[in-house]
Amino acid sequence: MTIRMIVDGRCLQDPNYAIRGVGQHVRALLRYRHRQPMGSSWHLTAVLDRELPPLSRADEELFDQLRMTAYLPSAQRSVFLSTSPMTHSPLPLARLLMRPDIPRAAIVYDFIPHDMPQQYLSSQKARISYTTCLTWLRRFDHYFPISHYTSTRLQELLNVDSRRCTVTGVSVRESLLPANGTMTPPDGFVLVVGGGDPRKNPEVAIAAHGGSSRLAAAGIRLLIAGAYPEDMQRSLRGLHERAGGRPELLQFLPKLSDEELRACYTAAVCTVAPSRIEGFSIPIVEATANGCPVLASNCAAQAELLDDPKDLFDPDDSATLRRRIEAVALNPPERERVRRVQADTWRRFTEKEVGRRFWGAMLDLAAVPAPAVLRGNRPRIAFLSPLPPAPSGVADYSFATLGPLAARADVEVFSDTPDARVPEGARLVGEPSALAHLHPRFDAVVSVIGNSPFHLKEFDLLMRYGSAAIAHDARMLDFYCDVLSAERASAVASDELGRSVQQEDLNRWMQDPCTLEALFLKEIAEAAHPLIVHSPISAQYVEGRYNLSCKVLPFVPYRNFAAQEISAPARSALRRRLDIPDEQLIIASFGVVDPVKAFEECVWALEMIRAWNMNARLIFVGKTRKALVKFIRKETRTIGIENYVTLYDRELSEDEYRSWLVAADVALQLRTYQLGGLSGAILDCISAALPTVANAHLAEACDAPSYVRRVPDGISAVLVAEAIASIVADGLHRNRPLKERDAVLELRNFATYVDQLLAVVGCA
Amino acid sequence: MKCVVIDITEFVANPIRTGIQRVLRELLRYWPNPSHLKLGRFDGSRGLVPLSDDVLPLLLDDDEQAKEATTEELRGLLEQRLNCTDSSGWPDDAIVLVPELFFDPLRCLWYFERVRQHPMSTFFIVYDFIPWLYPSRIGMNVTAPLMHYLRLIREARCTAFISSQVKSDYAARIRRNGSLDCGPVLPLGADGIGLERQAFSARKRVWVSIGAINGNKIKIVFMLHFITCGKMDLMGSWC
Repeated sequence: MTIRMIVDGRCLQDPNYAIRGVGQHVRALLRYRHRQPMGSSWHLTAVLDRELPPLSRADEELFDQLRMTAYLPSAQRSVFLSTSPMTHSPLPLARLLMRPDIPRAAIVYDFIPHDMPQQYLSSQKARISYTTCLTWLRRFDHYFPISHYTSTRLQELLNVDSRRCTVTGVSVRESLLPANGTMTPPDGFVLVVGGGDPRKNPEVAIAAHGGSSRLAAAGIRLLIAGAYPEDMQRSLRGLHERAGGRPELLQFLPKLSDEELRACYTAAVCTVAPSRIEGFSIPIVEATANGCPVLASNCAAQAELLDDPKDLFDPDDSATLRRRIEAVALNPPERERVRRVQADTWRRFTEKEVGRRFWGAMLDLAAVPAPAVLRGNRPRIAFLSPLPPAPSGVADYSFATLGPLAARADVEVFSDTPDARVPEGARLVGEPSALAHLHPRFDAVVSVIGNSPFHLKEFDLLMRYGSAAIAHDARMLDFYCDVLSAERASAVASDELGRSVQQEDLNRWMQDPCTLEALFLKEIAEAAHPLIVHSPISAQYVEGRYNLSCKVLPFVPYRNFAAQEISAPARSALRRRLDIPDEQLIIASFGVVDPVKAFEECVWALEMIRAWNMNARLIFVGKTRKALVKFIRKETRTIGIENYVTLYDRELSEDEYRSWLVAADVALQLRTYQLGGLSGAILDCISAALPTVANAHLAEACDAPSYVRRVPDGISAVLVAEAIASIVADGLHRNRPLKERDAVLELRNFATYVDQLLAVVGCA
Repeated sequence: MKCVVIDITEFVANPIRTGIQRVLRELLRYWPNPSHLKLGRFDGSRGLVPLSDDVLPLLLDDDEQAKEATTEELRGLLEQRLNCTDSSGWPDDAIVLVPELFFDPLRCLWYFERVRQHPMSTFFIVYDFIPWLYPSRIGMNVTAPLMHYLRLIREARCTAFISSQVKSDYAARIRRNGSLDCGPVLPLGADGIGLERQAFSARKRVWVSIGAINGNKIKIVFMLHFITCGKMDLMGSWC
């Protein structure tokens, strides 16, 4: 059986931690998975932050899957590991921390900021962030402190039961383990491995060394490894001189490679670890692994590593330290004695030993059965979407979805549409907010995303927290360019296409969608779990381009027409009311008039049809911009069909729109661009059993039935006119294909849609 | 005998040696009664205007300078002579022959009106309907910019076709009246480029694919086929 583990991977992305102790510890623990017999039964998913640099290729290989959000439907069980809970915001992962069915574990390094607030939490923001992390740290089921000292502080601070703690220690990097049989004779220096942080306290070692005339006389140097800024080095040299030291005997070694550091350990007469406070002491373990005697300050995390109290000193007591260094450095038998006492210290901290402790406890944690709660409840869904009266087809679609969804689940709707309406049964909670994503009462969160400004809040929350997402549009170009920024649009398109995308490219795509190359769906697909699309063609694009999976749900007509409403007598009656002669062929194109909908081809198709002696009239059933109205009027006047084309320069009412769906004989729904785009209008035509001519790509994307006649995607007015003529020749324009329409709606209705939606979001 | 005016607007503006221009060149070269032949070109503000016969040597490769000229150079030479219009004009009952394919809406609309007024003295050679009937083959996204020409041809009463298939398409799919009484088929000659008759030779190793490289001529199939097995020279231009 595969055990799924979600791992917070942000510390491996963050340059402040990736190459330091935190990153190295996490890397070593995860690497060990493949060395244990049960390693292959684990499936690790890293949750990453898109704002941070990407993982290195080597770190990517630690995981089986990478994700940008932590959203997980209720039905999927995993264990969760927080790799650095006190350094990165817990909020993007909060949903995992509140689910009762997910066992959670955290690696805990130290509470140094808590214990030294003036040094580490000097700003209010830092204090709030730290306290937030500390509060969320309570929610873990198991902890992996890196030392007994850290474990004790954890128990003191959060009242955690010691049985929920597994002290792992930190492993020595394999590159710092001793090479077989090589023991270098001491080279006459004392080593301090520190860093720029004041708590590392090199001062006590410098004072001890500078104050020792015996060490000076013997020419024993003090080497300080670690990145110390120039001014700090100057200050420490001053301290050394004031203590009486010879300047040439103090040396700083910034940026040592592992090989160089190992050489230092093996050649040093001793290593001094003078820190005032630590969560664990890596230098002690590294030094002992290389046969180097260690003298360490008596802070708790260091004291627990060294058994002999004589090897410890007070971090402010340079005199005691001076005497101990002199004893070890100038007296070979004493040095050998200390070395022998400490010889096995490091063996508890190999990758194998540390990994064994960690993975053993993780396995136990994963075996904890999920709480056996008889819910007896319906699933509870958070649904984020624009809603009517927002002038958006997506809003209408969501409204139509919510009714049947509320019949099967408890639905709480988050929408920022002013005066939003929801159908009976659904509950409008308020504006889209993180509450939807973080509150444990929701079994699933569904965000509705579209290529318009109405979706900004849903998009932002999706990026941060993840959720199931219904992507209504096959491309998000306008949203990225108009709502986000050109810079972000360029970056996303460059990533998608693997080449640099410039502003000119974006301008060209905006002006002519036929030239569009990028879908702008990658970020959404990465954040969504699952991504739901309505077109099999969109699914092919997403899977082909991004190597990400998605679910296809059928696009469902949301305007319904009773058979009676579209019967021949009812249509005749309506046409009489609209003053349409019986013999006149009404060709209608539904939706906002736009060049991408090939309105000129519609006009020319009418011209052809009329030239073929058919009394036809074309109605554009949707708002036409004034400039386009002027253009179309001029064009149709020039070719002699002005009196047979009807345009609206205003929004149509629902009644008007429906009337034309009933009264029309043939519909024309064309798109000049492809990429899997759908059309709500074509669904209306399908629902009204209105014979339609559509270009092949659009018809296939909408999985249209046979009464939607296909013309090639290179749209020709002649072929469109021929398709209209064939519909007339078949008599479909008079007798609508109700049987086929009913068969389509039997499969494509909101009740079925909602069943499938609940299944793909894990709430079936 | 009536005067015939041949509209060579596109030929003089853009002499790129297309197949249609080859037809035109041979028409001019072999016209049976040159004294009754006039040349014209369409001007947006004046309609069909006379062209001086001085352009003929340039178009028929009878001019030494023109023979070696690149397209740009030939265009330059033509432009110099376009200004020398023929002031004699032509009689009112002249016949106009349009042997070109064009999409300029103004030119189409001008001829549309002429066809309405002089249906029996305005003649067209019709090449094919590929852009309208098989748009995807040549990478067309939309055909609206080409429709004025189709409307004109549909209205014309004196048409000739380069093949039976074109004529049949015209009757059945463009005019859609089923009548084949719409003009003769004038098959193109195979002697236009003046090559001697070719004979098979086993020593020939080079394959040549001639013509514009577009979707309709499926050059890519040739290329894919020959790219691994031999040398192939492409003579034509990308469009």
